[in-house]
Amino acid sequence: MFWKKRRSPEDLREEIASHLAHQADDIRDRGKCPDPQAAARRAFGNITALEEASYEHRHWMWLDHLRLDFRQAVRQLKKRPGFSVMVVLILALGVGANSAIFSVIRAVLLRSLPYKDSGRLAMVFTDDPARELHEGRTSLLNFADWKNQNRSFEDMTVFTPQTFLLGTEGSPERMRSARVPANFWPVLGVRPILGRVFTSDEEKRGERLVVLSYGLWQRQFAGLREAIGANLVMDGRNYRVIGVMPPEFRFPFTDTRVWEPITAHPYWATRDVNAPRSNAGWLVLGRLKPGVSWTQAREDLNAITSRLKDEYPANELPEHAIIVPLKLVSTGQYQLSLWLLFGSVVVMLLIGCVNVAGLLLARGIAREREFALREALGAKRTRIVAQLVTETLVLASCGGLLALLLAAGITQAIKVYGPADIPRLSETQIDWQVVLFTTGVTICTALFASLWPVFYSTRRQLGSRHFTSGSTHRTRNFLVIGQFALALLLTTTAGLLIHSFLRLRATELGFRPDHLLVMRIDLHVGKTIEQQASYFERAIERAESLPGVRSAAAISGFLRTDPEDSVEIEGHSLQHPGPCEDLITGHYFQTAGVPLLRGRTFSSHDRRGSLPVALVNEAMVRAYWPNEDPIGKRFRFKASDPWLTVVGVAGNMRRQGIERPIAPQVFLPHRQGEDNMMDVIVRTTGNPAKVTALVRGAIQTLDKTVAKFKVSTVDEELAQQTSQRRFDTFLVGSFAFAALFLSAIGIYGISHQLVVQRTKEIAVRMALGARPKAVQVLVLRQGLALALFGALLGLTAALFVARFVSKLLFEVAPGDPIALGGSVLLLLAIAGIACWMPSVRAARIDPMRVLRHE
Amino acid sequence: MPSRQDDERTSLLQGTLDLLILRTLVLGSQHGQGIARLIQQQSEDVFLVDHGSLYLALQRLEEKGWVNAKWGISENNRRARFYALTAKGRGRLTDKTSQWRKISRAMTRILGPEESEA
Repeated sequence: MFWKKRRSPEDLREEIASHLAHQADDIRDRGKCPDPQAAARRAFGNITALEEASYEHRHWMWLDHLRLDFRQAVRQLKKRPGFSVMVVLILALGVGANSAIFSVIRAVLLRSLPYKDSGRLAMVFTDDPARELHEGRTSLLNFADWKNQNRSFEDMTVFTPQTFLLGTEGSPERMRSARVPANFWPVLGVRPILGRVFTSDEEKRGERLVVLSYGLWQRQFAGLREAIGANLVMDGRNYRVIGVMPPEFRFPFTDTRVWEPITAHPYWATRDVNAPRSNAGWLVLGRLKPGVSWTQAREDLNAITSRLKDEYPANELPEHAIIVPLKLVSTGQYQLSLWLLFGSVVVMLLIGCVNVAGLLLARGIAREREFALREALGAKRTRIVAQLVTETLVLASCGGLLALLLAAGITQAIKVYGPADIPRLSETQIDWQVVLFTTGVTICTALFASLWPVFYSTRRQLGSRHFTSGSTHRTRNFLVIGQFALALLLTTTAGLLIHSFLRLRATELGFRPDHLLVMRIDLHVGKTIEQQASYFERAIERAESLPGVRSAAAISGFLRTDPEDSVEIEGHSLQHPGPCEDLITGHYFQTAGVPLLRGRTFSSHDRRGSLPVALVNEAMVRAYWPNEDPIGKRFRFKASDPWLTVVGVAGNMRRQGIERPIAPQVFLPHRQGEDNMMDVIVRTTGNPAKVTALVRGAIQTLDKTVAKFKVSTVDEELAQQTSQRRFDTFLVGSFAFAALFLSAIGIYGISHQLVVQRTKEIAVRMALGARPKAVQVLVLRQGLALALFGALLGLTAALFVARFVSKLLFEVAPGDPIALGGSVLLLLAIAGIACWMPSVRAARIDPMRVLRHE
Repeated sequence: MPSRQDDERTSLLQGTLDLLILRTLVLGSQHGQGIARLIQQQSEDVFLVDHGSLYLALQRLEEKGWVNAKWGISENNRRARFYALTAKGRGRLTDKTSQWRKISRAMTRILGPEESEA
């Protein structure tokens, strides 16, 4: 029974008194007894025993014991503040790091997406290995066939991300939108928090309706209900606001601001309606039927895809369809690194556990006599174990509370300094689940760390005082070895990441990123091709006239460029994929710091009507004209384009991302092409951040209709590219550092204690002629042998683990000798330093004093 | 808990005390000492009722709801805690009695008639 009616001990006592009185009456009635009262009491037996038994029966004794144990534990811990603080701090560090990383993983990976039954949502991409096309888009015609012929999906929807300019007067702002059909909403299973979404009739009529994101609603309409029915000017056209989505709805991109019917955009009539089957510009999302597996769905769509390929041989259609669960689309690339972080903190916690176990063990040995005494006084073994476990739990709860604080701090830091591109990272928070996790981890850690020393402590014989028994040594050695093995595992992983990061830093960019500003200028409004080109020429001129600016130039995409679909080198057939293509204006190569290797750059004579010319990079020469002089060679991207003549060769420049290889690149003069959105780059003489405002002002005043833009340094942009790697490396590095520190404390503590306990033995050795140096070497050798053994054990594990993280490495092999060897040496050095002090202490032992004391 | 082993009196078998108490209470409500006396008398002094066990047993029976207790005045004109059988307790008594009879008959069959005992 959970709840017991309490009967007071007084009531029982009264009943016993009544019993004794009746009994005495009986005895008196029978006569012949001088003292009936005493006889009655004798007949009753042990009254106290009954009272105790009754009490124990009526109360939860364990609760009483717990209260006593708790009081006793607090007293014990107060008596040894150094020990208690150490254990609490180690636990707080280990558990806190775990909780923090857990809360990140929960926010990013574990929580389901904010859509109805999101586990059945998947993106359908096209895949064409021959054209190096992965996770590619689809044409509307292909989509229609997929949608109508498949048997695996409940429904399929199609959308395309687009951008628009928001605003009517002054400088507009470019934002992301999505063009979606009416069934987009039911497929995802989302509802607006205000207003409604559009219907399929409205979609058919191509009405200009728009659904706002929560953020834009707050910003543009101050979160007012009157927004519904209001007007929103997008790209100079009027749209009617009909609904607002909830804040957590951010599909397809986190910064998608509005959703409009696919038919409402002018592109619908001008290009989408009559787009050929090969025109792949659309993304496909499907909701799987219940009970249909991903494999079945893929086979289903693949069958349709290859049928279509046979049916329309004239079009370039994709080879395969691939189905990627929606959750993996956004977080797939972060899974490995987040789980690696989690693994690191778990290893760190284990090392902390070993430390705590070591401390508790030492404490248990020191208290051996206390336990022996308690046992001699009649304490049951279970009660002693309970007492020890309670002590550990008290320590652990303090550690757990501190860990929560620490976790809150770490998650806050991760939110602020972590990479901005991890989806939903900003939604990380310490909620009840994280608190539950922390509690669970704390209790498990406490039990794990205390259980073993507890059994050790209570297993000892009563009154035995063999402090340095063989089993103590073996178990302690085992602790140190395990700790070093774990520490090495973490250190090598960190070493591999750090080495990768250094390699990445040392990567030849092919240009000089320092003293360089970059800004994306968006002309948007109906400027003619010639006006576009002349605007950028004037902007460059204006920037170059500023003090502190050395030179300026413009390029279609400075740190963003993608290969064209195809290229035809004169004399060869069409090849896939093609090189990257960018328009340039001004002294581009000089400004970027890219060397011109052969031929000439563009001049003002390279304009519309003159010979179409191109500059290519070294990679392009190597790919298409190896061992030939490329100057004068001709190529084109498509058969319908005019031939381009190569007039110069520039050095390679890493513009597709630092970690990616350099693709063949083609530069064309802006005057021979057309682009109204370009990156302006400015090389400064001094600190680039100081002229940012000046450059922005100069360019803004040139044309007030240009969209709002951001000026940043190229160094910042590059840092953005490596932020994920920096984040991983920094965190794993920190955890490895903490692990090393904990291991150092562990080995120090153990060799220190060893020296203390062996003082007599050492003194005898010295009295018999051992030299202090030899004693010191003895202690050092013992510590280092343990560390070495642990390190070798860890190395085996590390080689195994490294293969899993190899995807996170950059130009570094999983068995990288520098990282592995460096970690082993570092670990041994730390073990050496940690054992140094105890060894000195051992060498300083004065045999006379020790032995006389005895 | 009885320190003295009396050859003539037999310690109660485990679980039989409850049954005896319930049986005793069929005759009417009774206080602890009265129950002990009745059991002793009715068993013709074969059973020795340990008073400590008796009160623990009463406590157990009370918790199970087979008896209830309230303070009253005894035939000796003293305050005493009287125990009475509840309906639930009566049911329990019936069950237990028939079970005990079954066991007792079986035991007798196995052990044989008294004469043949060596």
